[in-house]
Amino acid sequence: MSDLPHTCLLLIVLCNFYVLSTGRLANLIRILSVEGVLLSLIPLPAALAGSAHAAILVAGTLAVKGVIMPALLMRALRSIDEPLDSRPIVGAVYSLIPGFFILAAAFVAGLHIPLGDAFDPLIGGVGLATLVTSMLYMVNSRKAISQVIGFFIMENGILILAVGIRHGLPFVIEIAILFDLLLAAMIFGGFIRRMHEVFTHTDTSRMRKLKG
Amino acid sequence: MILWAIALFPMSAALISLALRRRSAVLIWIVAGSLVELVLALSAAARVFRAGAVSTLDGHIALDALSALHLCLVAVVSLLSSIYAREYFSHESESSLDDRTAWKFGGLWFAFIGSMVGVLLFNNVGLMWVSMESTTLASTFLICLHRDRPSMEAAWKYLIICSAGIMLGLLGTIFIYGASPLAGESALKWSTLMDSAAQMDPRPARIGFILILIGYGTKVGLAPMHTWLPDAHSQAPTPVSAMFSGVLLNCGFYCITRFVPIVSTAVGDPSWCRHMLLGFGLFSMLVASLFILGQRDLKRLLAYSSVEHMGIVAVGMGMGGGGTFAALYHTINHSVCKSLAFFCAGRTIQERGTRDIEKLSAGRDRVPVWGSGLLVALLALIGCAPFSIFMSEFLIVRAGVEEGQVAAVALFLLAAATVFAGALKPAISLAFGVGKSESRPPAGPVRSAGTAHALVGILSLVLIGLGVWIPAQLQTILHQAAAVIAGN
Amino acid sequence: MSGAIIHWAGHLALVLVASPLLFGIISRTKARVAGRTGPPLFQPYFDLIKLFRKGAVYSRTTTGVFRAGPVVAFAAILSSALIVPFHGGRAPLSFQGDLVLFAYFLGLARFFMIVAALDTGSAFEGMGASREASFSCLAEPAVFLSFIALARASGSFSMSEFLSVGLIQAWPSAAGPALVLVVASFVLVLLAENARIPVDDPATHLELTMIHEVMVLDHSGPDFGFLQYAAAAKLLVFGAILVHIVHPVRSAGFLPFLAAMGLGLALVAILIGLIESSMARLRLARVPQYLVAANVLSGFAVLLTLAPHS
Repeated sequence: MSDLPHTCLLLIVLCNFYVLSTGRLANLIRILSVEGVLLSLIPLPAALAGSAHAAILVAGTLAVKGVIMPALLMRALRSIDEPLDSRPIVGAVYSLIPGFFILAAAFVAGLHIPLGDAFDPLIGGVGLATLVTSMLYMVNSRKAISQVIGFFIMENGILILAVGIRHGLPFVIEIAILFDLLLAAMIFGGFIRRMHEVFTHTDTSRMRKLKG
Repeated sequence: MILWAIALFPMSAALISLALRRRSAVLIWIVAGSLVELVLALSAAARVFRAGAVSTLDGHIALDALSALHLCLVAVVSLLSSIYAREYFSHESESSLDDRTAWKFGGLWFAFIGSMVGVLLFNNVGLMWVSMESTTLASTFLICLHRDRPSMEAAWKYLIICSAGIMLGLLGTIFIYGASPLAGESALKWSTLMDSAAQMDPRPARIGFILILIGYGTKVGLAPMHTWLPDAHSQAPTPVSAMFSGVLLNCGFYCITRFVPIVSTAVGDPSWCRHMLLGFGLFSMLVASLFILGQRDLKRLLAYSSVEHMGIVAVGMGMGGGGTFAALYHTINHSVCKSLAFFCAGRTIQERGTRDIEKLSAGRDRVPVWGSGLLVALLALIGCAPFSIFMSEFLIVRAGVEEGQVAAVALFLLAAATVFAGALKPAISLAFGVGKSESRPPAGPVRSAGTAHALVGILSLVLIGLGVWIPAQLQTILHQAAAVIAGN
Repeated sequence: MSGAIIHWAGHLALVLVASPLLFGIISRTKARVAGRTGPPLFQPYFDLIKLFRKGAVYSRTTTGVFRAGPVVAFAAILSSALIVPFHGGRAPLSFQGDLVLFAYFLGLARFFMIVAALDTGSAFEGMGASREASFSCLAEPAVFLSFIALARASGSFSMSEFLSVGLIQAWPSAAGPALVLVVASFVLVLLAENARIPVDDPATHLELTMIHEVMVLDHSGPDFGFLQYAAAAKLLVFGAILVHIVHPVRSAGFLPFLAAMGLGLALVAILIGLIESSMARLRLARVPQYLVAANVLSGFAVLLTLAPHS
């Protein structure tokens, strides 16, 4: 049980690789939900040891990131009737390979983050890897929904790094961030639907009219 | 307490606005609500300037000189923009702003103001971040109010770039939290961080500051994170553009200046932060000046000018010494001037039917009040004397020379001169000259209501007035705010 | 000296006797899942005997390379089998770094099969040869990375050690997750290297979909027999490695361990049969993605064994 956070982190890395390689938008949203569940399990040992804050955090993260946010995004996806593949700029093979090198570099960098001796380098490595991989993924996507997924995974990476620093941010801030993410998911979902109404597609590479 | 009133009023105003069904009612309510907020803000600010900082909720919500100054700016610009919005939207046809769109506008307007007020009121830097993120969420749908393709594209760029950038700001905040030797809820209060700054680990503090500069700098519009700004500010409806350029950028910069004294003390050397600010500021000025040359769209010109002026504020902060005073003074001047510029540009574009600068000449003949206002505003923006912007830029240069930053001053002057050269010709041709081909046949000079005269007149007088004379009380206020940034 | 000869001979005999049975188990499993009874378990033996008694037909366009191909391939696979331990002790051919020799024996076998296919001068076999070559470029790094991860986890560079004794302590230790990743990667590679679904369908004969089948199309009689035997031996070798990783040897007793190995191999064969029955073949354009995924998994395992973490 004491190894649960480490196992969750490794599974999150595998989820990131899946995100890089998959082309189906519905699966992307499901993997986001899986990552949310894994993230919510990280404070579980502290919750089982009796901390009420950690228990609320586990429940809150599970509800928001595991259930509600993916449901909102899935609703937005289902309401736009366009092809459900993500059409990245660079294909799966050529994004998995940089993704792997990013992971290696992040593991090396995680050893050097100057945050004191109590900082677990594995958390640092996984957090950095998630952050940079998601940014790579956002840059590589054409469809609006995949950019949104990349954004949420970026946020996951940042929260993983926060967990490494003294087991997370203060409780109130974490709850506030969860609410903020919920709001963001609603706004993103509504915006994508409206974008589809105006453009009849959500392919951002075709929205290049504003220049100069 | 009055702080609670200031914080909660915009949200209640938003809820009330959702109960209004007619567009005229909404437009009157936004003026009334902004007026109430202004009164509340001014009274709280007066107390702070006279007697020192006030706080509540165990210090998580506080108002000190710096945030009081920005709060007044937000309240004033919101009121002016609300008054202008009423004037602007009354000239729009029923189809472009129907009751339903106006209903959404009212709610989002107050939510936007409320989130900006939240940024300024929260002493807790984590909650400050949450408010900053919610400004992005609240204002996105304001940009694409009229659902056409350019504004949707601009709104998407704004949403995704600012959200992603603000995430980096969160990472920076986390690093600062990690650098601090404290833990728990109160560890993220700015006042606590300031007190414990001397014991902070400098290395994560440095990384944190860079991330904060990049993250919050995205919201400020510093280059190279400015790519969303020209699109968003030019495609949004003009009252919204005025709010963006006038106060939202300031709020972003306020967040950065909150971290400057903390990191300076932690690192032990104030010049490290200043060099970072100088670098980003000068780069923004240079990039903006290049895009102002040959710019054809009037509102995009104003947007790039915002990038330039935010760069100037950053350079001012980066000079140190008297530069901080000058930068805060410049913030006020820019808010006033940019509001005036957008007001005039918006109505001009509305009346003349085009945004193309080349087609918009002879403004003073066609649209007398707004055209003259546009001329005044543009001349002020590019730094003509005796307007206030010239004064603040001059003070920044003087501070730079005093501090010995010769290279920075040289680049500053180069960029400012480029902007002057690039924007002077359009400014003149917009006001004078012979009217070229237009999409609407001219029907004689447009008569403007008293509101127009009042807005343009008052703002222009303020611009000239502040340029020749800074009242003693304003000087004290600015010095108090600068002292907060310097870490006293 | 005679002990060594018995060791080598016994090892080879084991491989030769046991390998065709795996094909039999796979066919039987697939048939059972499909609701049929299926061919007898020892059918592959009868097929091999039949092939070796037949005469061969050689095309006039081929040279000695064509005739050498199957023999060299078979010999190389058997040589690689000498490096893999089967009974808990050391393999006949083991030294530090023998994993490289293992990979190169496999590579030699593959090379001669490719060259023999090209030697026919037919576009058909050439197409299969090019596919085999390009996919093996992606599969071999995965094999190497898996071996490196195992070597680091167990502390030795000899296959006899990192597949048996050295791995016992590695499983419960911090390197455990890395070993899970190695198992996942190795399963993917096993399916790819042995021309199984989802990479290649052993039952297909459509030109657009064949990889391994099309390379051996022109061989007949004993040559084809050698190639079938080589494929069986290769499957045995990979399966044995997989069984070793999942269940490192617990006792050095010869017969119990042999029985456990046999059971493990049978389970591997049944697993392959189940996979083949339940999945369709991947589109050929998707195979690189599959192989890069295997590479990424084993690369991640290497990273985990390299990273010092609490």
